Amino acid sequence: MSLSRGRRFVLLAGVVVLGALCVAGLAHSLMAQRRLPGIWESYSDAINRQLQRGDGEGALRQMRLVVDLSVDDPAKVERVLEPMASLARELGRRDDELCALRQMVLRRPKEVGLRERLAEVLLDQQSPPRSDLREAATHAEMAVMLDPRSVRGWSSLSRVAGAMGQQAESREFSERAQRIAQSAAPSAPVAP
Amino acid sequence: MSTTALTNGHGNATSVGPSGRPLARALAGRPFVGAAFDHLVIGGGLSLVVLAVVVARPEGSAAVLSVGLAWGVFLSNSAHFASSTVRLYTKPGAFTDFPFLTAVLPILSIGVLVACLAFPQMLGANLIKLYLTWSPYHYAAQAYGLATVYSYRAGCILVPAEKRVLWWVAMLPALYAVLVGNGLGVQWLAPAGWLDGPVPSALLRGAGLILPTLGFAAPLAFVAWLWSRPSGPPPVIAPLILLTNAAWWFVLSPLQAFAWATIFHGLQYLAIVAIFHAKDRAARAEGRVPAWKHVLPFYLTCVAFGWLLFNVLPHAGTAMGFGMVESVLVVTAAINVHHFIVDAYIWRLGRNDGNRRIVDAPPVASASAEATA
Repeated sequence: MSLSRGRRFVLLAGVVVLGALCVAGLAHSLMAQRRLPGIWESYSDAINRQLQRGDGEGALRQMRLVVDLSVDDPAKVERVLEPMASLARELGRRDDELCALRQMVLRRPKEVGLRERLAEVLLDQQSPPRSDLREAATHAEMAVMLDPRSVRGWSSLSRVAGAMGQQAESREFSERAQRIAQSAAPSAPVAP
Repeated sequence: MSTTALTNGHGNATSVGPSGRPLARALAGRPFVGAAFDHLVIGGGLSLVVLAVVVARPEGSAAVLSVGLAWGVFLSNSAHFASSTVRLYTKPGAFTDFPFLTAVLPILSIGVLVACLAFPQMLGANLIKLYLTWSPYHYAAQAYGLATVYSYRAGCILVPAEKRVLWWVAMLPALYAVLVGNGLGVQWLAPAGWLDGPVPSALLRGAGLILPTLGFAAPLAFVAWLWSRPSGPPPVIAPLILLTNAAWWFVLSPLQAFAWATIFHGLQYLAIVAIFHAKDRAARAEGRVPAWKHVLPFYLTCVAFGWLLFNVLPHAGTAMGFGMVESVLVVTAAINVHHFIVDAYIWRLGRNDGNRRIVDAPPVASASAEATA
């Protein structure tokens, strides 16, 4: 094997870097988990560990990767969605919250509560862009179609109509929401 | 399919194809290890049996997967990725034949890995989609390569036009995955919203309907076509390899394909790479050494190196402050891409390459001579 000096240097550098990375990996696994790296690393375990360390941002970034790439069993991906939406809300990461909610709606399209939530998150901003208003309207319409007594659905429709300058429709939807809320339990929330 | 009954030198009637090779021998081919091993492991016959069970009993197979997937991936898939690197560095003459692969590519791969870890959503996610898109092509190219090698060994010498047809037949499952695969291929590369147009969506829907049928019919049609040509029929293992790859992509759901196909693809690869390694070593060894003495250390090295790459390296990512999920995903993608690149070179059958000597064999010429005598 006759290699030029330059090529030998590059080859040696590769071996040294890879070796150093492996040593760092072994050391980290031994220190953090007190064991050698196992043959299977569960994504949810890794995310939970990160959460236990209080690294919410890091955990959220990893949840987003799992969801965006759908790299896991669909059932496992689905289990990530609810914690991801809650964590994103807690950290004020609206994009990630929307991503999780949209994925949940895709998986459970007939769940009224999810449609209501997604419409509200889309509307919870200073001046929602038209695309968000349209998407919120779609989910709110779907919510009231699935459950005509959906107070949150009618309230969101009222907010969409208001934001689009359709004041008469906005009032009508708002009154409808209030009527339903009053006829239901006294504690039912009504959006202003 | 024309076969001719001739009388061989011993006065027995022997059915021969247009190539003059006795039909039975032409179809049986020349296995590397033994007919059963080659057809079941390299040809993928075993995976077809498992596939039938998976389709018939999806719940049972899911239970088996939940217990055995980790070990299957560890012993087969991870080891197979490592094996291309182990083969590269143990292949005689590799350092001089492949200076870029042996010296530059590893350090380049590590650089890409670190960059993708630093920017997981911008770079890492795209590296992952690149490897997911490249994988079906890699499987198809392996099927094409193995089908060609087995045909060649059986004395079915394919002319360039026949090789081109075989290549396209082998590529059908890859084309399907790239066109209709969720989140990869065209879905990854096409500009946002472009595929929602009526023409692209109709074309993709059509491809999704036609390609599975074509993927199963084409290998059989290829055999029929070849049978009528001077090359004669390829050995059974050649279409078997193509049909197995088609079954992995067309019959299994994407998740099942990910789990089962990677294990069996790894097994197929490990078998063939171990055979080439053992034959290289045997050619250089003094005296007669049993094949397992070459194969076992090679396989154990691959398993150990696979563990370092897939299970230890991600912890280096976490040691540097990256999350475990992004480390695992990006490390996996980088290893895959490295493997695909290495693989494209180490199997070449150049005239003076050691691979050619292993594949080269006295053709079934002796048999055809016998038949035409």
